[in-house]
Amino acid sequence: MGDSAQKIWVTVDGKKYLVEVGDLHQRPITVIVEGSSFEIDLDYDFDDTGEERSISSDISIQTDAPSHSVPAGTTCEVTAPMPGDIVQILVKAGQKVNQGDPLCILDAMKMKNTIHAPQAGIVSEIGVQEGQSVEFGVVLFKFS
Amino acid sequence: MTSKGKKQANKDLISELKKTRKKAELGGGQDRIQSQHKKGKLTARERVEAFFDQGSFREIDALMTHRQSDFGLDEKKIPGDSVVVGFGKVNGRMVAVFSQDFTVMGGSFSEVQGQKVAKIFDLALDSGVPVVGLMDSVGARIQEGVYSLAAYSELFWRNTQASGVIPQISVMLGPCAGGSVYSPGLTDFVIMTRATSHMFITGPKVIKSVTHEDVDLESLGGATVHSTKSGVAHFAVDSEVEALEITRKLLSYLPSNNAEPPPALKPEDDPNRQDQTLDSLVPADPEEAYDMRQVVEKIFDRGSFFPVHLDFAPNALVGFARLHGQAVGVVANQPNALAGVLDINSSDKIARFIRFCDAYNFPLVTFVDTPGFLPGVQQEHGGIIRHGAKIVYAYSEATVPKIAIIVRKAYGGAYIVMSSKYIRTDLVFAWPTAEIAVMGADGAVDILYSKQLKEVEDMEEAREGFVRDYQDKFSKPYRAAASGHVDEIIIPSETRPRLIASLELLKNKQGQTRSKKHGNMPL
Repeated sequence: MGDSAQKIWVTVDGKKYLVEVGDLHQRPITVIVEGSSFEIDLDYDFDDTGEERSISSDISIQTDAPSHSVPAGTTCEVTAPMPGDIVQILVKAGQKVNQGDPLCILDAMKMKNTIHAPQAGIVSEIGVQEGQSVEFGVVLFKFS
Repeated sequence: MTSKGKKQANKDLISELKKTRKKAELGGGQDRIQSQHKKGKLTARERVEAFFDQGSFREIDALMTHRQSDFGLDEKKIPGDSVVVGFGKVNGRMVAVFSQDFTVMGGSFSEVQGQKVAKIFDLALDSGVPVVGLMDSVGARIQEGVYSLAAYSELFWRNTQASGVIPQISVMLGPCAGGSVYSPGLTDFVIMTRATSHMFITGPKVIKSVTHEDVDLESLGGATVHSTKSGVAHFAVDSEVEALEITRKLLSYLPSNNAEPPPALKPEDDPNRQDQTLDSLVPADPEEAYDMRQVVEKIFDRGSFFPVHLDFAPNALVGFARLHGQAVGVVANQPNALAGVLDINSSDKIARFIRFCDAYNFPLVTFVDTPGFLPGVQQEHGGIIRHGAKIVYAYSEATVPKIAIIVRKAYGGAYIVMSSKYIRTDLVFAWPTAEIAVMGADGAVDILYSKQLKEVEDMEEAREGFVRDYQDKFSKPYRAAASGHVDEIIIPSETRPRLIASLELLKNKQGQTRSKKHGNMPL
């Protein structure tokens, strides 16, 4: 999938899926879900006002074998365990981490707390910046 | 009858009994035993044999059968029915056991299972012997209806009567669903095997139909979930053998009943050992974390610390340990997790452990390093007030010897609840790194000097000065020591000999409790 691909997280029945959406101006739109490609034809296009969000889609065919752009395995999120300030981010998007590796330092409750990776994987998204204040539960990292 | 004839008659009687015993030992039969093994599970009897000291198990009610006939039950009468009960020895000490037999109608809780469990429970309670349940059952025996429900209600009632009198341990080795989860839920410790044991009130299918949530067995009620999220399980292990081993180890710390002290082992570690690395273990920067477990391991008898509920609310650390051979209960904040804050789950974890220790005569040793209670809407609305109150309640109620060491942060309400002098902790020590204040210096200065800070030219410089002043006053334990709120400031490496001497002083402490039916602990 080219540079125009966007990554979004879709929650279905409580389970999160990383969905890569291809060029929205093309028809059909190509999306990759959990490593499988799908082509989607839209019944109608997005409303310009942005208010009409519901689209009915027709998932036509699976076009190819699992793509390499989404690594296999489960995806997960690391959220802020306490409200505080992000002092330092220790990883980069795309970086491979092992379980227990330090991800960032959260200044909270009079302490600099190291947030560790709950499982091994690749950091797919960093939701915060250094210096940012975060509330409890804010997504800090997504990784697969 | 001739004497020869008499002998023959006796022989026949004995061989008849032997035959019946053999049948009982097979439970649900060879096929069912094989299918149990295929699931990676041992049978009820194999578990009992593996659990007790070799050859010490004595079974009772091995020949009891049910008297039901509905739904073809009269065709399925198996001596012993769906549970094996009896008693035996663990490290030489008597323990009662009931082991649900999955090979007999899925270990379903029948009227007879209830009667057998009730009998062994009553014997254990009267004799002051711990009860261990090896749980592997599909739940109530549906064919028996109310008889089955009545039977396991009797168990719940006994679990409650025995609470605080004899230690109760539930070892989960298979399914435990529906109402029957409340028996393990009532016991002192729950041990679960990963992949093979599950606990829930309603299973995935019912959940799907009611709330449309999709969840599998393991993520709903597996060992990992219950030992990390719900706190239902105190230990999660990978195999049945490990589950039985950890149960034996746990029992080695526990007294047989509330009238006995916890068993003391022959001391092997030097009581005067002073580990110098303790003196530099707490980082000079108060914002830097460290592992409280290391502090504990270095102070108590080598290798004796046995953490309980390790993966649930990891911001608190609780467990048993030995000091000069004597078993004690250890409670500590863990700065390595969530800065060591007190939150809803850690409050529950700490309070329940304290109450167990008080009920069974374990002196309590508390290590304090907590910045306070966790702020946030989620915590407030989750009831942190009533949950946090449990810690104060449990410490205040406890009459066993209580010793606290303020290692570093002891702020505000969290300072008070964590075994402070005021809730009748017998001896409170502080390390030179201790900080005892209402709140952190930054926050305090913002409130105390809000007017002055607005008036000065260089606000930052003035602020820094005020913060330093506040820190000088309260980020050191000398003020607390000068007023007797701390009994002594000690060098960290002195902690072990200090604790051992203090426990010796408090050995025969007579705590007073007002006469009452029972208190009303905030639950």
